Amino acid sequence: MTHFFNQYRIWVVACILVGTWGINACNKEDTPVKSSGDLLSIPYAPQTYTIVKPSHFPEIDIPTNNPMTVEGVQLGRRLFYDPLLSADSTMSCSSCHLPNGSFTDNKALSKGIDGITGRRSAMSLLNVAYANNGLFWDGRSATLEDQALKPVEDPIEMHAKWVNVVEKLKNHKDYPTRFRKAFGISDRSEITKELAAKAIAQFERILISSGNSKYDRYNFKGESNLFDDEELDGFIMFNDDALNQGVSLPDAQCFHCHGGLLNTGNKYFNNGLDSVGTLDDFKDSGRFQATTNPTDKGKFRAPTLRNIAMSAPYMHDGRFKTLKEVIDHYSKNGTGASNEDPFIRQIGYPIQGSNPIKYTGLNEYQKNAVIKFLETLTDPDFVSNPDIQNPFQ
Amino acid sequence: MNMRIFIAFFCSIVLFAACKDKETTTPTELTADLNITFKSNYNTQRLIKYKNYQYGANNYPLQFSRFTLFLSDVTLLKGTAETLLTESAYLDFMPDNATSDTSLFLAYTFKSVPQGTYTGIRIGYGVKPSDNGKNPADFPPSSPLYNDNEYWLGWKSYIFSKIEAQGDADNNGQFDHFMIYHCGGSKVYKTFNFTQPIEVTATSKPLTVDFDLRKLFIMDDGRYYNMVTSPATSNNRDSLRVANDIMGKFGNATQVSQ
Repeated sequence: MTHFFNQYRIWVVACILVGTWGINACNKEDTPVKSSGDLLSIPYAPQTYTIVKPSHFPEIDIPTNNPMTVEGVQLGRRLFYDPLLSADSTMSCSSCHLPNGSFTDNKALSKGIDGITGRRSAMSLLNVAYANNGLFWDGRSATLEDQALKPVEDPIEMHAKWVNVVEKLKNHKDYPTRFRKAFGISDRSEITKELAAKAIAQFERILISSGNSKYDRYNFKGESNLFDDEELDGFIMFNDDALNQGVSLPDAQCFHCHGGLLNTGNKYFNNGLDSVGTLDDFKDSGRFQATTNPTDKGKFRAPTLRNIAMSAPYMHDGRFKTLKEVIDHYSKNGTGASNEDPFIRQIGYPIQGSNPIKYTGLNEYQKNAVIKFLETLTDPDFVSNPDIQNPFQ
Repeated sequence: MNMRIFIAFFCSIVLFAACKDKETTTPTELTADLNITFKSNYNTQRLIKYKNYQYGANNYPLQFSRFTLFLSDVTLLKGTAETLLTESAYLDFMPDNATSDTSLFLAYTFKSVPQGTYTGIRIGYGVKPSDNGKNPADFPPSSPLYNDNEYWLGWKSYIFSKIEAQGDADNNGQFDHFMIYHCGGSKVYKTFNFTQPIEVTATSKPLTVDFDLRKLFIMDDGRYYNMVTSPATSNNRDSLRVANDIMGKFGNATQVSQ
């Protein structure tokens, strides 16, 4: 045997080297390119973040390429509240998405850093982790990671360039360490806009209802005496449930667009806001901008109604200041646009003998009852959750 | 020299062995993938959102804007033997992320189906009662039943099928008759068997399942369902009966072919 190795040792060594090369060459995992490694002395040991959600809420679909970590959420929270992301460092995500407004700014339209008024109202971010059918009013972003990239460069919002923002992050006294702890980068040069967006998305995924609203307690936690008569009537009309309940109340048809456990299906509707001659006449073409399907003009994503009493004004352009104005609108039963959602036409009792069948809309008591029910969706525990507040205050 | 050749050969073996992705297993029975394409039609014409179709004895124009359907326990039949393809499926022929109004062909591939000639297929229309007693919080995101948008809290039921349309019943150019048929509740769950030779081999053709919406609205006496006087299942006095009628007609409205 010794003789064998002595005689063929060069070939044996060659054999081992080639085999080792073969194994490495066939390894499917990409090895990261090493850089100077100025962050390598900082420990990278991310802890899994477990999202706290009400037991009656569905599971949250976390993308496999952006797992939730404590360090990622902490970084995302800081980025969300940090005006560093805007060109002049005066505006952050939270400028338009404030906890007290259930992560809206309570303005019809927001202004960007250049004083230009935006075209749409800031949407609530409550339960945005469940938005699996597009983000923004028109659904043009498929994921939170993609959505988080957009406002930074939007000229009517933060009006920055990501390349500049990333440069600020790289040179920051704190962020490189946080990126290291969240994503395991070895060098500050590895900070990217995509990692920043991933962190922001992780933070946004923890913006979940507490499950302690009056509605949750009544409907899911067995506190069956919690609603007064008016709230109960509103609840029944909201869910078109009068027949089931054996009471005489009209249908408000709300749940068709704002139903399910989350009070939104994240679908897109023309909810009869504007009377138009043709679909081309909509001032804001809405969903069409994402799909380019002409029959999507004038459609917008139905927002969650959870915390709706805290997120006035309403609609994509903030045209309604109060819930009363909203219910008054729906009670008019639409305008007749060809792609209008049919439920808009059927609010109230059917008017006997009318052809086509017309509907009465809701009377003042019924409108107020629906509003009273909507107010039971208010979740103050969510708004006061210390984990989602501004970390710089 | 011979030893050198041997070592070179050994090196090659090591090299190729390192590139082997995963171990293969010997199948115990022959299987193949079965492709099923679900299609929606109206009187044999492909369903297109907001396209005019003819409805009723007067052939008045009717336009559809939504058609969704849950299926349960889709099962291949061979005598008394059964092969379950899927426990649940959700079909949305006009999803709101579509870039055109033409209804989708919804293609599914069922993996590793035992090869052979089957005698038919059984389809459950709606969500089977054992699942309908649960809600979206009971299912993982990968399940069709995770779909919160299709769950009706008031009835504690999934909405088995949504069919929405608008018609010009008085032929005055106005599409102001609205027909909204949202069917749900375990009482209206239906199961139908379709007898049809179905080949499953490595080269067999896809199975096609066509739904003809027109047939859902033709009553037993041959007349069309009166959408003008009963425009919705959710606010009509006999809504459950209407939902039961519509779900019960899916058997006649379905055509299976290969």
